Amino acid sequence: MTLFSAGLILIEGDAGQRRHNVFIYLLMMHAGTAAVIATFFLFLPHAPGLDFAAMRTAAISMPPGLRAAIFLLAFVGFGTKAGIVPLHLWLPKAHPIAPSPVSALMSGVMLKTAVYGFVRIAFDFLGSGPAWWGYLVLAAGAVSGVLGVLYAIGEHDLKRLLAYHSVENIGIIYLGLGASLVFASQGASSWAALALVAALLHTINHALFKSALFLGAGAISDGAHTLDIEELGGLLKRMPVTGTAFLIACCAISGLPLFNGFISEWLTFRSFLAGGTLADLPAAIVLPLMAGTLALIGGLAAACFAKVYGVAFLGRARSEEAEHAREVAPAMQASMVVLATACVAIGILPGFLLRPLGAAVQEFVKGAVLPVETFSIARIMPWVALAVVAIIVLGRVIRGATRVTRTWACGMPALDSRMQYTSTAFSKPLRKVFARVYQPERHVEVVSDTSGYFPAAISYQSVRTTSFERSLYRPAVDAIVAAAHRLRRLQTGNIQIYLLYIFLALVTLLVFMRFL
Amino acid sequence: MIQTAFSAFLASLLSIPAVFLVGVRSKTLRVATSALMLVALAAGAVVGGMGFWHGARLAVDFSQVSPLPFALGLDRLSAFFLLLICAISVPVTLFSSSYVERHYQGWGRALLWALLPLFIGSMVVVVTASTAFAFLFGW
Repeated sequence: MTLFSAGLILIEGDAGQRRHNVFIYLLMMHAGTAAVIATFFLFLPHAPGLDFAAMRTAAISMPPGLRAAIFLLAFVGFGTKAGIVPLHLWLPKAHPIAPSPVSALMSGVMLKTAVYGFVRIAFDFLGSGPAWWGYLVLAAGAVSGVLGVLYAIGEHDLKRLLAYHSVENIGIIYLGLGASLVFASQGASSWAALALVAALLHTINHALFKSALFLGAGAISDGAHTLDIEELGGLLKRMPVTGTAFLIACCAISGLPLFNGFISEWLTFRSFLAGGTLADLPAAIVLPLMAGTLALIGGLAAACFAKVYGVAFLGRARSEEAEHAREVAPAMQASMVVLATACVAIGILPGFLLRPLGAAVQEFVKGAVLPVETFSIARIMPWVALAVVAIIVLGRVIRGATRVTRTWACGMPALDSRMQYTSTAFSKPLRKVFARVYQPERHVEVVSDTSGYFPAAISYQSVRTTSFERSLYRPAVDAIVAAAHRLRRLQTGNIQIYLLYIFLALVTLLVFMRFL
Repeated sequence: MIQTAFSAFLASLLSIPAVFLVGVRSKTLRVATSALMLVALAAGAVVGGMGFWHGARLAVDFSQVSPLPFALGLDRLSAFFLLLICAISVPVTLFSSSYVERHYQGWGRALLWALLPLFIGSMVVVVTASTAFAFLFGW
């Protein structure tokens, strides 16, 4: 899976930065795979054949320390593939450089195999564990969710922005998984089942709307030849089908009602609020607080997609390419329409997924009866949808004649695209509020004209390296390089010294074997 | 029945890349093979759907032809993820059939079409694995 996806990324060539990004992707995947292999190998003494049925039985009788080690290794190993912060570094580097359909598969599907692996190990094999497992997963989910969406807001390359939103949505899935682990540790199996159902439902929801968005990005690059949203604008008129499908996916990812993202986020909210009924005080405080975190993530995601859609699809074209954009081929339109339709279908009729998901969860959350809240949303949504349609129809019927006039341009002769809100300007207030997270390095250069009163040219550049690159990965890489430099002293190039090393290694091994 | 459909689905995902690499120049062959891939993925989605909605179980053991225990199986959780992979891959393949034709030529295009089913197939192996070796092989 890892190697094929790396191969697919390299199809567009391996020049410079691209090769570096694929290298980082492969490096982090190998580190993650090492943790996954270690997870399985820890089962080896208890289940020699390493088949899943034997591993499931073996896990019950394992000492708590070993179970904790397996859990932590699975958390790190699968977390690297899923892209939880701070193990997400590869994700915004690898996803944007792949061909669009491959990005859709990587973001929509490949990350989900990591969620599957984590659920299989932590829920199916290990069953429930101590409460700190849940708190760890909750913390990872909350940090990934908030930072993922904040980084996304600062981006104006569409595919990088979508990649950061994958980090955010994996965060939401992990919030559900964490809540489920906390509930299970407290013996509240019904709520544990609900939180897990919410997480799994969000898994398929994210797969649907994220692949629709990545395919939309592919359609935009095909139709308008650029993915910089500062260069786009007015695409809805030129690409109506893509624009509509993209709008539905934007609504779904922002968690708006009638779309699938709302259902899974609502169920996650519901389980968090039920946390307040737990007898254990820390859980009763932390879980409802997480509802606040999820609300923050949802709000910021909605702001981000208002920016994306407003700047790229509405208004006027900001470049020649966007001006001459045209609708994509019918097969491409059809695929986006299918995904967008699925988003609406699950949003209005979630029952057809919720029931079997409940049955799936009951296979490993033993004796869990899903709370009535799970299905109440399935009963109410079709009526909400009907009401919304009725209001729209009624609005159309009673609305009188419309008058179409030109927009007032503040006294200027005509509107032009430079008068519009840009993506950078739109996100500026949020970037100012969260300046501590971004810590941008700004370079402003003003070239004065001869009179000295008016600038001839102003150039503005804002470079943003994520704080994790600066404060976590950079020192680690520097430490490894420094250690390697120190170790170079061992490499004298003198054959006698090497023979001495071999002799010493041999003696050490003999001593070790003698006294073991 | 479900066993046969699943095996045929896996076999076609494995054999499609060879056809793409052999028929690199023929447009008709490319179109026919991508249509076959769509059918295979739809069959995979049906298998996943049957496991997910009706609780159909499935076990395929390849341990005789593999040096380490290699078996695939389906429970509701696996079936859910199999459904997810196939259901998303169908529109993505449909999108690619037009996108790849427009943006890539020659070996790049053939390689992309060859790697795509292998990538999807490896993800299917991961979620349906019922031994650790099969899981890590797909991973």
